Amino acid sequence: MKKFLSILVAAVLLVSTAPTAFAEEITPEEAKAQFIIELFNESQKDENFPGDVRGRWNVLEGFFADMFSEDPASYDEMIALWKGSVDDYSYITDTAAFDDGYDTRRKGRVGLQVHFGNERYEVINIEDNSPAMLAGVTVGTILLDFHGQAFSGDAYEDMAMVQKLYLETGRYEFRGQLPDGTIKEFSFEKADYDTETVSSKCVVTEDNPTVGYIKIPAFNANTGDKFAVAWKSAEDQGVRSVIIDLRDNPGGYDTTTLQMLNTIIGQKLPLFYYKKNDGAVLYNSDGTSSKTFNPDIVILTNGESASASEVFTSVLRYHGFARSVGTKTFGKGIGQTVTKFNGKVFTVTAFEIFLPDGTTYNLEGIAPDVEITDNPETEADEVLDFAYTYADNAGTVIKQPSALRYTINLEEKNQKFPLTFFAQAKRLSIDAGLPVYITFKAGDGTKVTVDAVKVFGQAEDEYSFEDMLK
Amino acid sequence: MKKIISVLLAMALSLSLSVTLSAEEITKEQAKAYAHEILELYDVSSVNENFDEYGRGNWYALEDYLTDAIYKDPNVYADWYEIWKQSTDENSRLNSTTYLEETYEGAKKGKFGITFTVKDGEIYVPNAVYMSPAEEAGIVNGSVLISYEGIEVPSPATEQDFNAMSTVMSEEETLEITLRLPNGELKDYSIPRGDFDEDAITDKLDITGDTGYIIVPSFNAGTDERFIETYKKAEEAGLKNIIIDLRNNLGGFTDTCYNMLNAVIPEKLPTFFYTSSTAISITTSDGLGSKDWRPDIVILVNDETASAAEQFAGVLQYYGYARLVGEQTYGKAIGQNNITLSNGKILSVTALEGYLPDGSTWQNKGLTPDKVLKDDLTTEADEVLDYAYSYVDGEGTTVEQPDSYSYTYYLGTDTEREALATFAYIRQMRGMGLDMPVRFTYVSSNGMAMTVDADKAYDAAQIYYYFGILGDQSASAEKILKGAWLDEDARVIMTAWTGDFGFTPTLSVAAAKEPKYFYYYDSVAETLTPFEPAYTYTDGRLRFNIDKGGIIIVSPDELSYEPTV
Repeated sequence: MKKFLSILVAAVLLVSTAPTAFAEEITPEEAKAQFIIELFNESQKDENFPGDVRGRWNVLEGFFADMFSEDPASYDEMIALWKGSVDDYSYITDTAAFDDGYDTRRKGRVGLQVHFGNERYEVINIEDNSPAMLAGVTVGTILLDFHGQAFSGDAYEDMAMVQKLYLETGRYEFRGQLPDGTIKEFSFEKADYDTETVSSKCVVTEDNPTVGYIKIPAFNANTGDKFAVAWKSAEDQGVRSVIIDLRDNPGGYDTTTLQMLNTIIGQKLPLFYYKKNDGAVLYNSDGTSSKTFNPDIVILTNGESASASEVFTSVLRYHGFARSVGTKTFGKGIGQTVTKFNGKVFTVTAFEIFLPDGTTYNLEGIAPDVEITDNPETEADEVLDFAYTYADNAGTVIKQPSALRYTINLEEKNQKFPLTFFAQAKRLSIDAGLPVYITFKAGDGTKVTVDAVKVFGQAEDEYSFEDMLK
Repeated sequence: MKKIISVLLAMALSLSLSVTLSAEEITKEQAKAYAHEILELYDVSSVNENFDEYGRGNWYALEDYLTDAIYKDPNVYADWYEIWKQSTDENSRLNSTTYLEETYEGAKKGKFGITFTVKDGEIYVPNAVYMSPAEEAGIVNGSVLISYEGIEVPSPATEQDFNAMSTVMSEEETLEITLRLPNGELKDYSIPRGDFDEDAITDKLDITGDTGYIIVPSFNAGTDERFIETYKKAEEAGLKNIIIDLRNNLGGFTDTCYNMLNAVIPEKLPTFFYTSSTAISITTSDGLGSKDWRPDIVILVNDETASAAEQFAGVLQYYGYARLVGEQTYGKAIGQNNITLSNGKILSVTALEGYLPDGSTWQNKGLTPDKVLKDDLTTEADEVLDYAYSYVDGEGTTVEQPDSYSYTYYLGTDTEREALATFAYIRQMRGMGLDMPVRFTYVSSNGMAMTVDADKAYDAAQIYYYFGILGDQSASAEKILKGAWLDEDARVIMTAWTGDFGFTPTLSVAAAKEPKYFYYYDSVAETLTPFEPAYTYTDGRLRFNIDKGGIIIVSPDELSYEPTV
């Protein structure tokens, strides 16, 4: 911690230390660079101070502008410097691409993604309901030509050729080699479609009249509303078990995840929390959904069920609403914040996700209750078939607890939590009408449980483990 | 405001945008856009700088880059510093590691005790420091430096000349200078270095009849104790008048100022408040000053009375405890935070703005004395002090004890937000004995106001609040609705906060007729929902309590509204 002192003094006394004197001092360049950064970082704290202007990074705008004007490559260097300092989940994209990714209503697209590698041009992704899928293209299909034109072998040239012809014609026409080795002619046009109509359907088969099946391919902006429709339809159809298929679901919005959990959970329960650099953010269910529909839930997962899928699965399992079958999940227990700016989107890793008891599946994934692997040689979906037999129609009844309880494992014993963390916990408590108890656990096993509302009432700027032991 | 949303996703979406620039020339504007983007990028990323496990973007990533740049061209360092400097006010600066001790200790070792400033092209001596070798040598305040160590001061003198002079003087053991005195006479001085304590002057109580005279040259650490002791001596002597000399007092620590005000003010009163980027912090008098001894206080000020000195004088003048005699003061109501950097250097950054309880400020204006009077430097007499002796009347002041600490804050924008921290500080002060309600009145650009109780706002535990009343939007909504269906005497109030407050702030609006009907207006559903708040109507102003923000209509007549389909 730095020491802050407040003073009010007007002008220089006696002989002031002129800042220019420092510029002439001979110190190691590294110390100076460090110092500049610190200077700017510290000054940034005052950027919202109304009235007088003060130091902040934005003043470097002109400096960078000149630099990029003189040497355009320096922009790449700066980006690379940033990129080098973040994890793989932090990246820059443009607004349109970002919106495309999280809105399932596609307009005028063919719905496939081709990777132009060094040796082959392979389809790596196909969107549900897209013209590409309807035409029978599968992931792993290799493009052999395009609109009858042979490829040159130069990935960049070939990519440009594909883009050009597609823009001119709006069509994909190519010979493709399917994963099983057969070669087939494909031809399809771009169209409007919704990748996610499946999310709003609850399928009930004649063989299993008491079991509904809902597939969730992603947690997109509109998935929450669609799932609510599917869930209502499951209740209306009188099913007693629901299979939720999260296989190959890479995740998506956390707000969607929360909305879906609230659709299912009829009690006020602690769901999960995000650990951030300045504390944590707690989440609970609002307890507003139907308390009369409590089916047995079986979730299907595989190694590509990631992120939001894992939050959804782990929370339902944690409280005993669901069991999962399939294979171990991906293991991404971290999240990113997204900032839209100037036509681009910065996505930066900003929080870790924990279950209410302080556990995480990050890097490890969630092991299913029953491990079942799909046999790719057979037409049958062994995992789904098993799920139908596994669903027991017994339903789940979860009691409303008397408090919302969270356990936070401290990274270090003197880790500090700001007052705003407890303020947020108090809001949660007011809204839920339940006390919020938080257990802080140190690495050596010592722990302390506090009533968040009471801690808030004491109004310190921040609290550490030691403070709370008192 | 930027919109920040959270996502949970495993892989980067389809195509991550390529960020390479083509090698060809880009325009200045493009470069500027890229620069802005970079800054935004780093700003956003630095939010996460302590999140260690997953290394992430922050400004420190530039360290190697800057190291190289400065290695290749050391001027880059100066450039960056200069860029920073240009973005701050003149009170923000970088100081040496010993800056704090040198500046805020009255006790000086091996100094001359003379102050110089550049003014109107001359190097000017505002004053000799009390108790110093310079004072002993008989330096006359207001003299102009003609030469030092045989070096003539160029005319007009510049900042560079001042710096050159500082460098030479810093190496001398005895200062040989020639000054032009205010009466035009040239005089040579020889001033040795010496150890002295300027604040020791405050220990002295100069008694003339019923009047005591106390000089306070600074608000250093320790000045408060000295002042309080001397002030007590005056009480014990049963004096009827006190003259406090704050001329040439440039200010100092805020704590010193609070303690001195507490010694003088017998009542519990709001004294002033500060705003920073994060919160409003208030100060109050503790009501422990002597209630039985109320001397008439006259404070001497001049254009070098600044900052903490202005605060002291300003608060006492505001409540009528003191009258000021002398010149318009300097006009600095802003404060700096001193931050020690890891290399030991001390960064002073402007971080606070000070206001009197009614929201007024002396920033850039100074305080206007009750009797404006300038010392004639060409005479030996101290006309200002002499006048003060004739001005004192032996009549002390009693201020009625209010039942709350109330502060008025004029919002910079109608949507300025107030952070939880403001109310948390007050809750903390409760633990330290603050025992009256604290109320803040936030005034919007249109003169409408909202008054909140700090404890209730704290208990509602919002991370932040909007207490503003949207000026332009209220006015235009009023105009539109009056044209359509609203009564001519009705008023429309749009608050910047649209949800539940969790407590009941008081709104205050001008209204020509007493309104008796109150409605929330939902502009989407086009519905009027009546409510019956407690209200008062005095002097054409309506005050009433609300528990949630939104569009509020007040009217002297009952309103009914049929949506126009």
